[in-house]
Amino acid sequence: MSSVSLMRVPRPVITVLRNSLAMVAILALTACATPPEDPEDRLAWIATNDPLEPMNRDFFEFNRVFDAVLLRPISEFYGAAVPGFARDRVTNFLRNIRSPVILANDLLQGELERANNTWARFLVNSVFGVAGLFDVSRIPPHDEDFGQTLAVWGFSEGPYLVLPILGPSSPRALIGSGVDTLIDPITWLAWTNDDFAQVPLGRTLLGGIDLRSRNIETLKEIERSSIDFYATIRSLYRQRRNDEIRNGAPAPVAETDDWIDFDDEDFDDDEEGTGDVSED
Amino acid sequence: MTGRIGKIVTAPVWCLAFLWATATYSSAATQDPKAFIQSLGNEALGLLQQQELAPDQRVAEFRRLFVKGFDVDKISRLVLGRYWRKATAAEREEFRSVFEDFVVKSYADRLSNYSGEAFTIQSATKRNETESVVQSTIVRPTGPPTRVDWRIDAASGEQKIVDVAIEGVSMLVTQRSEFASVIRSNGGKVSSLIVALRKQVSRLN
Repeated sequence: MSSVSLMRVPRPVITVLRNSLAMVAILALTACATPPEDPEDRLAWIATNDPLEPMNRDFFEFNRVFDAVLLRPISEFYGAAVPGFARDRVTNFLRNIRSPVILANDLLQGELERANNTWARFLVNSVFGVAGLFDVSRIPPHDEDFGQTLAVWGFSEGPYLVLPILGPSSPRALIGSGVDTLIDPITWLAWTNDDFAQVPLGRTLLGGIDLRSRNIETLKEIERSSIDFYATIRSLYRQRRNDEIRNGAPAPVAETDDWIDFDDEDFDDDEEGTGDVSED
Repeated sequence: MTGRIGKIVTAPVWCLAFLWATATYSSAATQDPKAFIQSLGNEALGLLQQQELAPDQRVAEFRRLFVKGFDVDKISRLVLGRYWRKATAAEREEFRSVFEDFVVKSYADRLSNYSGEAFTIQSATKRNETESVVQSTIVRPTGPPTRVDWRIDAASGEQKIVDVAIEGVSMLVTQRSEFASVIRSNGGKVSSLIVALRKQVSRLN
């Protein structure tokens, strides 16, 4: 460790975010793809909303290497060495200490019933669930973050981003996680109390391993059945994100239909006629 | 005489046959989409529980179920999106067949590890005049339930699945976006996608 004083700043997440932001800014200037000439291709290119695709693909490949040599082996070891019972306690504990951030965002989105659920879960699980190790609340959990709050407030997502190590993101999600870090009582605890200085970093690392270990098979299957893994992950990320923002409500029809107008003479055998711009 | 008797005897039979035909036709079109998904789901679960099935048989059974339950023609069109219009008749036909192989090969394997999942149907909502969405959940012995939405189209007179969305992630949207990316990075040629899919199918063998 080069500097002890640096540890007092609310770092782990913020440092990574700041560094990646700087990197994104520098690379964006050089790695921007040129939009296609053809008007229809151009519309499709805009709808895909990935102007940094060349750079994003580079980071995506970097992340695959990082995953193959470090994250996946560690997560597989974690999954094999730690019994399922203990891993479930870790998942529950991590989810429970996130409750203040979820609660704040529930309230900022005006979701009073969900805020009430978050609060009740936190109270019951912290007291009767041994500091959140056990989920005894019988209330189904949900997640929220400030990126989702910004979406509910009407801010658009911005271009697709692949961050080194952190993976798929967007400017809106990136700003959101910065704000979440600032709202989080654990950040403040780490800030003001030296004994807790490493807690945010530890939480982030454990959270990453926990998440990865629960998705080994799923991700393997997705990669196996893809012919363009990058494009698949981009679409999956955005759809999951939009689903979370809608709190699981059905997607609007426009989002699942193609963006292009099908009303064409060559296309006489199809009855689809919606011409809204959708995810891709 | 015999002709007359013959007519008297056969007339009701023809009538019945006609009634039966129209009844089954309209029941297929107006049948409760929930019942359709339920029966298809039961059939899939039956296939899942046959652990002794050889891989080849499993693939064949899965293909039969896929072609029966899904509107492969319509999905082929929707999944190619704007490139369907650019494709030649031969390319469309080729794509449709390799796409079917691709889906069957990609997903048949997943049906081999059954671990006590149960399937419950929640509700059905109309999407437009011919389409509806059936919401269901798959409950596992451990872990949270998974939301699965089935988009069904009855435009052809027969109910068929057009799209499946798992936890808000649509298969159609994902594949369309993936296929468009492959075509785009190969100079806009649909044939490049067909080549890529064919390569993938032989790799999955």
